[in-house]
Amino acid sequence: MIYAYAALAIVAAVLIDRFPSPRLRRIVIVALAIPLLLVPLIDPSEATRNLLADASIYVALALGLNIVVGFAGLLDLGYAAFFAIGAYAYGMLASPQFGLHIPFWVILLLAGPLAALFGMILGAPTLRLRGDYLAIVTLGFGEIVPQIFQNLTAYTGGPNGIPGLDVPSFFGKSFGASALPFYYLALALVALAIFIAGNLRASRLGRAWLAIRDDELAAKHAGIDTTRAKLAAFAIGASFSGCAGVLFAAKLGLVSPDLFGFQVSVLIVSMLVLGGMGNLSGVVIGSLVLTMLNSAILPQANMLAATLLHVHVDLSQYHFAIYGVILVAMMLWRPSGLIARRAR
Amino acid sequence: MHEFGAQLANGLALGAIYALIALGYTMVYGIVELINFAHGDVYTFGSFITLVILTALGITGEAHGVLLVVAVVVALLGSALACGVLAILIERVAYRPLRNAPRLAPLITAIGVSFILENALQLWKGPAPITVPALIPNPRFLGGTFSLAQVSVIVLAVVTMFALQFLVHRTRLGMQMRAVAQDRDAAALVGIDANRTIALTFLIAGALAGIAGMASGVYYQSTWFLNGFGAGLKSFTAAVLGGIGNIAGAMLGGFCIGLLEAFTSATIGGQWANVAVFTVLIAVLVIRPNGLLGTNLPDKL
Amino acid sequence: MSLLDVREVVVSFGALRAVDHVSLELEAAQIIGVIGPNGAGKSSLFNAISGATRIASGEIFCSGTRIDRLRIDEIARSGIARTFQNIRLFGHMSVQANILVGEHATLHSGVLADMLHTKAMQSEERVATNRAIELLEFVGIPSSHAGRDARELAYGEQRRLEIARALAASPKCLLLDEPAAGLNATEKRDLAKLVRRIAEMKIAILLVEHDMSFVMPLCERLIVLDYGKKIADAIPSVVRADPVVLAAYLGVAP
Ligand SMILES: Nc1ncnc2c1ncn2[C@@H]1O[C@H](COP(=O)(O)OP(=O)(O)OP(=O)(O)O)[C@@H](O)[C@H]1O
Ligand SMILES: [Mg+2]
Repeated sequence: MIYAYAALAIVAAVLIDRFPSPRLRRIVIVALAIPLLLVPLIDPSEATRNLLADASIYVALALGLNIVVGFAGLLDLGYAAFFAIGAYAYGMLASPQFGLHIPFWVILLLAGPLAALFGMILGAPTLRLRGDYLAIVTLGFGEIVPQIFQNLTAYTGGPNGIPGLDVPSFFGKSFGASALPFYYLALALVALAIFIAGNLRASRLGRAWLAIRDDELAAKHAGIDTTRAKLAAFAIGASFSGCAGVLFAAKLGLVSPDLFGFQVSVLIVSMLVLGGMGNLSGVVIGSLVLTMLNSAILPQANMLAATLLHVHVDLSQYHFAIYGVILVAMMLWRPSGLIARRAR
Repeated sequence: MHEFGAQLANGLALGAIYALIALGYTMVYGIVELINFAHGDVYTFGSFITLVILTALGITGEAHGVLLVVAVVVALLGSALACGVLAILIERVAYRPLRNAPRLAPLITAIGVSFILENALQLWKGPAPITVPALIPNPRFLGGTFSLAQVSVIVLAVVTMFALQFLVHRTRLGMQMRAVAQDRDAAALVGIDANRTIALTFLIAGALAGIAGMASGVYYQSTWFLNGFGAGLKSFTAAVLGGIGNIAGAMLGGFCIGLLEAFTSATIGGQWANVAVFTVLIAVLVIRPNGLLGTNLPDKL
Repeated sequence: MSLLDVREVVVSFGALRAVDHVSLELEAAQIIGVIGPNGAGKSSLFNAISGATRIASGEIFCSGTRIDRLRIDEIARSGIARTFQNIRLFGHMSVQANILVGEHATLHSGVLADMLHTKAMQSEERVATNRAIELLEFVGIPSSHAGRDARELAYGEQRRLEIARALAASPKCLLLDEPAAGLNATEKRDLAKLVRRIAEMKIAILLVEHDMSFVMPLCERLIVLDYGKKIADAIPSVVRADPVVLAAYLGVAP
C-alpha cells in the first residue's frame, strides 16, 4: 500500500509540471490528492500512518528549504535550526516543563512568525557573504542553536530534552496515540507550502530570487534590493521549518537536542538535490523518495537480502553514505535533479 | 597560575592540530576556491591509519629510544601518504569534473564525500571512540607545564608551516601553485599543467591532514569516526580567522582557536566551546572576511 | 542642471587610477559615445555611475539628486539602467522573466500579495507581462522566444534582450557598454536604429564602443578616455581629426 501511495505521489508530482494549462493542472492535483487523503484509511496500520506523517513533515521541510536554496540560491546548511526552534517552542510552551499548557493550535500559528523572525536574525549576518561562506555561516548557526538548547538545561532539559509534551486536541477531542491527525496536518502544511511556493515563483519576489541566484550583481542593477529579497527568503523558508517542528515535536511527544543536528540539514539538502533545486514537483519527489528509502525501502531490503540471499546486513547503517552518494552523483551527472526543470 | 599554564599548554597543542588541518583548507581554497568539506574526514582517516600502523608495529603503549623514533617516523609518513593519496582521489573523482560548474556544486559534492567517508570510517571501526596507544613517554618541560607530547605536536606544526612556506614561496612547484591560483588560463599559457598542480596541492593538503591525524591520535590517544567534522569546521574557522590562502595566517588562526577552545572549556565549560568557536567563525566572516593577516586570494569578480 | 552630471570623478584600484577626474553631462534624448583604447577606463566609468564601484572622489548627480553614495539598486531605481560588456543575463530564467525582472522596481506587489496572488497582484502581472512582450518586440526579438531560457538565445539576441531588460525599468538614462561588440554589419545597423529610437523616447544614452564607423554617425558628441583621463570631448568630426586622440590610439606622441 505504501508503495502504491509513493508511486501515485511520484506520478502526481511528475505530471504537475507537464500540464501547462493551470485549469487542467488544478484538476489533476485535486484528482490525485483525494487518494492521498484516503490511503491511511485504506491501510489502517499505525506504522503506515506514522510513516506517512513523517514523510509529509519532511516534504514540508524540503519545500521550505527549497525557497531559500532552490529559489534564492542561498545554500543554507543550518536549516534544521528552525525546525529545532519550532519543536522547542512546543516543547517549552506545551509541557510540564514550565507548567505552561498553551494550546497546540496557538503554538502552531505562532511558530511560523517566530521561526521567520529567527530566520531573519540568523540570515542577516550572511547577506553580504559569497555563496560558500554563507553556507558555512549557516552551518555554524545550525550547530550553535541545538547546542544552546542542550546547554540551557534549566529551560530546555539539557541533553535529555523535554519529555511528556501535551497531546494536542481538536475541539476537545484528543489526538490520542494516533499519527493520523498529524498526517492530515502535515499534508495541509505541504499543500500550503506548494501553493505559496508556486505562487511566489511566478511573482515579483520570486523572480527577484531567481535573478539573485543567477547573477546577483545584475539583479542589483535591475533595481532589486537584494538584502530585502534574501531576508524574505530566509523568513519564509524558516517559517515552514518552524511549523513542521511543532508538528514533529507534538507527534513525537518529546524534544531533545540531538534530533536537529547537521545530518538533518544535510538530509533535507539531499532531498532538494535529488529532486532538483528550485523544482517544486522534483523536491516533493526527492523528499518522498528519501523518506521512503529510510523508513520503508531499506528495512524491506534487509529482509529481502536475508530471505533471498541469506546475507544479514543492516542497510540502515549506510544512511550517511547514501546521502553522500546522492549528493556526489547528482551534482556530477544530474545537477538539475531527477526530473529536468522546464523553462520559466 | 598553574591552571593557566595547563590550559595554555592544552590550547597550544590543540591549536597546533587545528593549524595543521587549517593549512590544508587554506592551500586548497587558495588554489581552487573550494571549501574542501571532506578535509576533516581525511584527517580522521589519518588517525585511523596511525592506529593501524602502530598496531602493525606491535606498539601498545609508551615506546622508547629507537623504537619510538621509528614508530613516530613510520606513522607520520604512512599517515601522510595514505591521506595524500585519498585527497588526490577525492579531487579527481568529485571536484575536478565540476571545476567549471557553478561555485556551489563542488561544495555540495564535498559535503557528500564527507558523509561517505564518515560512514566508511564508522563501518570500519564502529561508532564508539577508539583508543590509540600512548606512544609518547611523558616527561614534562617548563616547570612541568608542557608534556613531551604537547611540545612535539607544537614543534611539528611550526616546522611544517615553515616547510610549507618554503615550498610555496621558494620552489618551482610553489611558483606554479601561485600562478594557477592567480589565473588558471594564464598559467596554462606559460605551460603550467593546472590539473597536475591542483592534484599536487591536494596531495600536500591531504598529507598535512594525515600528519595532523597522526599527531592528534597519538596526543589524545583516542579518535572516532566523526572526529573530523568538528575539528574540520574549527580548523576552517582557523583558516578564515588567519586569512584564507595565507599560510602563516592558518597557523595563527589555529593557535587562536585552540586557545579559545581550551580557555572556554576551563572557564565557562566544555559545552560552550563549540558555541564560542562558531561565534568567532560567524563574527570573522561578517566583520572581517579577509581575516587577521589578509587573504592571498586573487580578486576574481 | 543636466539629467546626468558627472563631476571630477576618480576611480582608483590601488595605485592605478582607472578614471581620473572625468566630468561629463548628458541630457535627455542625447546620445553620447565614450571611446578610448583598451583599459582606458570606459567600463570603470560606467561602474562608477551605476554604483558597482565606489568612487574615490568627485560627485555624480541624476536629475539633480546626488547618487554616488547610494547602493547599486538605489541608483538603478533613481533612473539609471545599464548593460554589461560581457552579457549578464539571468541565463536560467525565461526571456520574458528577464524583462519582468527589469520591471521589478516599477511593480508594487508586496510579499503577501505575491504569496497569495491577489487580484491586484494578478492584474499588475498581466500589465507587466504585456509590457514585457512589447519590449521584446521593440528590441526585435520575436515574441515566440518569450518562454525560452535566456541562455538559449543567439548572441545578438542576448545583447538586445539585455537592452530590453534595461529599458523595462523605464530609466531616464541608459548606459550601454559595448552593445555592438561581436555583432555583424547588419546587426550593427539594426542596433544603431534601435538606439536612436530609444533616444526618441527621451532617454539619455551613454554608449561605449570601439567601432568608429558605428559611433560616428550615431553620437551627438564623443568623449575620449585615455589612461583614465578625458582627453577630448567634442562632436565626432572634430574628435576624429584631433591629433591627441590619434596619438592615444596609435600610441605615438602628438
Ligand atoms: N576590479 C578591478 N581591479 C583592479 N583593476 C581593475 C579592475 N577593473 C578594472 N581595472 C583596471 O582599470 C583599468 C581600466 O579598466 P576598464 O575595464 O575600465 O577599461 P575599458 O576602457 O573598459 O577597457 P576595454 O576596452 O578593454 O573594455 C584597466 O587597467 C584595468 O586593468
Ligand atoms: Mg570595458
